[in-house]
Amino acid sequence: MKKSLSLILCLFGLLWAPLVGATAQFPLNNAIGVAVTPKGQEYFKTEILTLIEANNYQIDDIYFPGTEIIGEELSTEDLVEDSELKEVIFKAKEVLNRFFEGLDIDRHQLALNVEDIYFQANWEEISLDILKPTESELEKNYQAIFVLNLRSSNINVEVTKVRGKDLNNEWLGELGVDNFNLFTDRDSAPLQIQLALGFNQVSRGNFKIEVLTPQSNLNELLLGYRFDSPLVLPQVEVQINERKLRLRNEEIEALLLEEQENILNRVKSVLQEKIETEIPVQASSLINDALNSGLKEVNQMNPPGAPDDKVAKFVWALSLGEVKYQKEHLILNLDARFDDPTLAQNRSLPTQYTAATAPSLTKGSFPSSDFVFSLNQSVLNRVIQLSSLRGYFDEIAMDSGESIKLVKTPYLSLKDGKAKMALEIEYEVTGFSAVFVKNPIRIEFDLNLAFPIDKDGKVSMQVESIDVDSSHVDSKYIRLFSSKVRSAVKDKLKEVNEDMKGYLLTDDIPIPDDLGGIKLRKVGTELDNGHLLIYSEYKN
Amino acid sequence: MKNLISVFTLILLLFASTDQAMARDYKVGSLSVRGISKFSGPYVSLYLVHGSKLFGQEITVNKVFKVLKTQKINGSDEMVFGPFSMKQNWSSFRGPSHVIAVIHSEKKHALNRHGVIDGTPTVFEAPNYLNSNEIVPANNQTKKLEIRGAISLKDLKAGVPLNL
Repeated sequence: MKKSLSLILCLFGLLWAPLVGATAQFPLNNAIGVAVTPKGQEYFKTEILTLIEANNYQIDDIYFPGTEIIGEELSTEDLVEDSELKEVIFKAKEVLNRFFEGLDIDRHQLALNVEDIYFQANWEEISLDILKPTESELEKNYQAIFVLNLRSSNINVEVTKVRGKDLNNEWLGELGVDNFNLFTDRDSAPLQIQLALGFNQVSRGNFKIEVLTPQSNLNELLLGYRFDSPLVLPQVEVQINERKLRLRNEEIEALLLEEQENILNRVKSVLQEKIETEIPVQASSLINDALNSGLKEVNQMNPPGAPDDKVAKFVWALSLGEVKYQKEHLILNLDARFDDPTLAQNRSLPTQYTAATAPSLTKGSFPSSDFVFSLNQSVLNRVIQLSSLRGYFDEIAMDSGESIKLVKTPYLSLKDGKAKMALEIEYEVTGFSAVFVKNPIRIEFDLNLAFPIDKDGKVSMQVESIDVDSSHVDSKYIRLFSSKVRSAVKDKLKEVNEDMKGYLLTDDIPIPDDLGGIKLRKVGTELDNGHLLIYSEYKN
Repeated sequence: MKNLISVFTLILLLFASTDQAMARDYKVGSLSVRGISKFSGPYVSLYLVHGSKLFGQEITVNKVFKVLKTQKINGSDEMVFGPFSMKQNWSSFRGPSHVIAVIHSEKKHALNRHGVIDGTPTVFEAPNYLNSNEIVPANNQTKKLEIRGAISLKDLKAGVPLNL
């Protein structure tokens, strides 16, 4: 019996995974919940850089490979936006082309080639605050507001090589600079950027993140630049009779350095404008693209009770269904599906084996917790159902060598603060007692379950006791002395109760110990209206 | 001037990169793949990817930076690949995190972004590829795989083998 139960339940080691395609359906609503407690949110204020690095992002020393940008072909006058200047250029072009043979300036195609960009920043502060939406933000349907604050005292950008040329007028040659370096001055104020993201839930499972107007003190920064001399410039000479006039390239270079402050002020102004106008739009687009693809994750699991690991695996997927900020907790509710790809026709899980509503993750039963996870009984029951459909739970081999036939799928119930597994077994009564029954008989009874955490931090599911009072044998299996037979069954169950106490159905319900690079330690479990709640705290 | 600044801004803030780029060298150390003899193959492919895990046991492949190699397995249980050297035509803002090994029967394999690591996946979605010429069109043949394994670059550097 112990062995059989072990087989039935040994599979719960697979239930977790993120996921999902937008087109797929997720019949298990509120399958998994994740809450970040107020205490847990403090982590994001101080350790966000650790989280960024743990997820293989690099933000303090970034390398960008060079690139080649080729613009559209356009007329000389279209190089500027000002209409009056356009007119001046157009007329000048006509005059020059008319009076200078071989010039033929008309259309241009600019190409910019950049080699190796290095960005370095000394981030003194990177923090993420999760905030409850204000009334006005709620009206815009924001469920939560994320505010990212960045501060760096030392910004340094180096570009190995920049070259520009006009592909339509190659004779103009190249214009460029080597080892260009843009830096913050030692006396500069640190760069500060605040980026707020509004998490908008359009409908269940359909989210849109909007980057609200960023704030920065870019205009306050003291910047400087330098570059290798000489600049790469075309050689310009004008010959009048015997006299050659040469453009002094070194003076252009000197001018760029003399006018550094004015040029940088213009750069800062343009960048500031872009930060406030274009970046929110572009960043929103990038984030939503990443959100749409990044939340799609499908995984597979070994079917519980399978005879070996070569059988086709079950496939499961999770989908973010709901995000909300409630009682200072950030709450994510995930929907799920679990499928057997070998089933010709899908069979859904009967609704009575699911918890229809989301759990309460804000009770604070374990005040030290940073995260609260919830597992809907539907997840466990769906996996049990799929294995049962494959026949993996039809018969249970016992240590004695006998076998017990399970005639009903052993679904779990996590209601009213109690965890129960309902079993119905077929049993062949032997010996003299067989006279009183119609073999094989069917016995129904419940197991009382518990979910303790062991010394290694694993959540196990173990038998607390047999609910002897729940046992029942239908009259159709009894020939004589019904009460005696039923009493004998209870006595037998009481007999094995002590042996069953503490029996492990699974030694590790796979609640993650590493969530996106954050190491966690489980501190307690609790049942809540059809859900198993697991409380975790950061593991330093 | 404004147009020029716009171009630079775009480069710096959007981390633009293209496969035409001039780039520095990127190296991946040699990798030992073990447990190959359990599978018939006959091909093994290695991918340099960025992968992530949340709840699942298997990584989700977000981006393929490079298809490192495809070759026939040679009957031994362990094969050593690399080291590999390539031009880094990507930003280090989000670089590679894992090397993935797949054993498959067709000469070309279409990698699945999802954590389905054996058999013909019923749920398939191609990951993003940095180099579009490395994309293999997915069909019932190219999607098939015998097994997929992954190792983080951190473990690879420490000399840990990839066990299939």
